Amino acid sequence: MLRCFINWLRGNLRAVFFAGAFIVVGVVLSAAYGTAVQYTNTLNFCAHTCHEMENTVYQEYSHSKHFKNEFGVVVACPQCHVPQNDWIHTMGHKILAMFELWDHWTGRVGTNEKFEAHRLELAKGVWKGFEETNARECKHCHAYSNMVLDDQRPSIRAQHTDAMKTDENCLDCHKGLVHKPVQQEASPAPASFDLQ
Amino acid sequence: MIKLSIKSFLIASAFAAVLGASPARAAIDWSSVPAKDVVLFYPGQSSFEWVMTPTDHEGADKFRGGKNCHQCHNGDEKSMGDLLVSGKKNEPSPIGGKPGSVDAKVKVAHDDTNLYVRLEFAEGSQPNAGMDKAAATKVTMMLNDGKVPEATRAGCWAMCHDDASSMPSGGSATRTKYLNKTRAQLSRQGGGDALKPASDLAALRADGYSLEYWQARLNPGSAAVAVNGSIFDKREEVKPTEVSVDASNAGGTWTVTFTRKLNAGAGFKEIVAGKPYTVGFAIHAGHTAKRFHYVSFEHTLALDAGDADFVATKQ
Repeated sequence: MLRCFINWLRGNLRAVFFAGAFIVVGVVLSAAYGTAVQYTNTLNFCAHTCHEMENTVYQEYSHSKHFKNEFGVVVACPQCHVPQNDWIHTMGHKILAMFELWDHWTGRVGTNEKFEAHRLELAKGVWKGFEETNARECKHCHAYSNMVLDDQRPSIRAQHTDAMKTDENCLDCHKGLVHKPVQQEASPAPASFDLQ
Repeated sequence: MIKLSIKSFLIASAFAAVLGASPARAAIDWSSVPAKDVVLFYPGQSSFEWVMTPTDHEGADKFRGGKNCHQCHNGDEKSMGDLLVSGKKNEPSPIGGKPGSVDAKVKVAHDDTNLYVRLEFAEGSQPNAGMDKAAATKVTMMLNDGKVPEATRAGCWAMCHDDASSMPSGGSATRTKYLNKTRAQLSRQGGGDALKPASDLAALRADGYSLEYWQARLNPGSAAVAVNGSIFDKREEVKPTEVSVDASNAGGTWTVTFTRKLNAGAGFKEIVAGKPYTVGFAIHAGHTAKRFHYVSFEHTLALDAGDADFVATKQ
């Protein structure tokens, strides 16, 4: 039996070599991808790799409840901004994220002033992503079905009771929770003050 | 001596007659009427237009979409009042040391003739703002019979506009409260003085598009003064008043009872069972006037039965 197998290997040496090489390259690429994702999915990478993030959105985030809270739980940037437990979407996100390097190299948002000039446009891009996934990353941790409504303030309870009926996008109410709230700047001036 | 006795008798008789004109004292056993807690908070310069503008008020779109103030903010009154009274938001002239909110216990009841609304509240330590020399405290109730949709949705904010006196766009105007539809056009700055044509206003009036207000003007140790009126294109006091007030102050806690006939005649809203009403409460404390008051969100009222915040049962 063993002799047969050895003879088969000898007869298909080239195929065996390519198959082995394919597996090794696959493992190496997979490990490289996993390592790259792991490395870039850290607070340290997001917050401190480029000054554009460090000087602006990180500063806001570091004062938010997602960074400092009574429980000591840190919700790092990727947990909100990178698809969780979703290989395909994570890879797509990482590929698209590389285009953001263009902004870094060209200096389009290279200073705080430039960043502020583009903040609303950048925020709209992020909100669009959350809208497309119906706040999938929020709901990865915050499940409507697990909320103990009786423990919430009456006003909050009323909001969540309504929101869960339609599985509402969390950002419909919670824009600007972690970063500088600019959602009001996105609203057009009202044309009418009559209540319908 | 005899003269004095006759004079005393006459005074006592007159006093008894006044008491008799205030049926609340005799008719209602308030101990059997359940109380509802209502928090009145300091609103600063947050006008109706502010509420409606997304760049000012994050909930503007929700409000425009159909959510009432109370639906989103029930339970937030104290924190909102503390923020606004501090001058950190929507209040350019904060009164130092003024509390941000006042807790009131409100009871309602009726008999064959009258509706009774009773507020019990301690206004706390109030600095004397010196704005209203005549009254230390004023308690006001707004009544809507559903004819003013803005008031159904936003209670007292329906009549609180950005260009009223002491409001951000008011300038030196002496403009009082008014309702949206009386103005030719509303902008972020309010509706100004340009009214709709007289025929349109007459049609609105004929349809009952107005609010009613009842007010008690209070000074400790003095008899309460009752006032009532309406809000349409401006605030107008109606004389003689159809509202009576019974008020007392014990240890800093005011107990104020409004009494008004269920059917007070032309110019007054008829209060009947089966019809939904909206009420809002305001308290001016510490000799304040205009915006420097505490206001409640909108609350619903019904007679005898119904899905309402206040159900006035027959006593």
